[in-house]
Amino acid sequence: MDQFRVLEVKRSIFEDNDRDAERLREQLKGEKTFLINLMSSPGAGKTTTLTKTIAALKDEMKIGIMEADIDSDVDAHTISEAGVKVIQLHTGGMCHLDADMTRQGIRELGTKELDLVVLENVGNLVCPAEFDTGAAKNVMILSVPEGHDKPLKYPLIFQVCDVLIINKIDVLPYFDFDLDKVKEYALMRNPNLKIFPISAKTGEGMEEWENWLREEVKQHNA
Amino acid sequence: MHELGLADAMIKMMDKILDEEEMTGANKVVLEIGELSGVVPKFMEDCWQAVISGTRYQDTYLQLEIVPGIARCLDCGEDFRAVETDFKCPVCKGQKLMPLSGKDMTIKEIEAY
Repeated sequence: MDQFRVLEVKRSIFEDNDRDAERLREQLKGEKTFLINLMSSPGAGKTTTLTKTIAALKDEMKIGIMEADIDSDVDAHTISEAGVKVIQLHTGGMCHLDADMTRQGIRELGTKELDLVVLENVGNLVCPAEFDTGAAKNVMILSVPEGHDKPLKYPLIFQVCDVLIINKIDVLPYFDFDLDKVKEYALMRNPNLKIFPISAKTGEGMEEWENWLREEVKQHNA
Repeated sequence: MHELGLADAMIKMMDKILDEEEMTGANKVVLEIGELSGVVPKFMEDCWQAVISGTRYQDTYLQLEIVPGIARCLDCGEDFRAVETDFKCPVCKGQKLMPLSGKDMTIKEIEAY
């Protein structure tokens, strides 16, 4: 007969991932590579915002991009036209990227010469918020058509992010979107959140966001 | 399908624990789900069935235990069960909250063989 034993475990299912993430963060600090984890709903404008940001910064620093998608490479094609190093990561059906997948991506990308790596996470406001990728900073994009009540519906992602980009402000006149309310709700979830209202399309507000990124890269890699 | 990723993480963790303990499988696993983790117990059970198929856990029973989500009001300091009051402080109606418990997903015990 089999021998049964009850194992008292009491361990969080995020424990291993959190440890992997911490290790990766330290490694990237040592290699002077600033990793940001970019998250949003599908269609909030991650790829467009990223393309414009790359155009503004690529002469000042070496940039690498990791595109995470469940199973396509449409975004990687778009980004590769911006003239930076890009790789595609497939999560194989999973709705998020964990620290181990991020580490594998980093190895494939080869960060030794890169100053900034952007991980474009799977479009989703729930799962990516739960799994620490090992990024130095978490950034999320919320777009005007999604509505100003998102911080109330998806509190966790607002809690784990350092920066909230509010995209598509050029269409504000056409939507029932209250910019003051969204700021209030978001700060309620996370008082330390930095908020940048932008339009990746018209370029409005992009400079403030790019300046923040520039400064963070400089401080991290000093 | 947020629960799918969690069920997958759970299996990876169990693999590690069983290897450490030099055990080969499990009859039962008890998972504590925090009320503030956003996990729907029914979906967690469904996703568990999906991820265990074809693995050494395919006959492992998943038992769920709910851990109350207690939040502290940052305005008046009151501690309360957040889901019962729809995330508003019952004393001052404040909405600036800090979660104290019930955010996590924890493997409590494994009945291993």
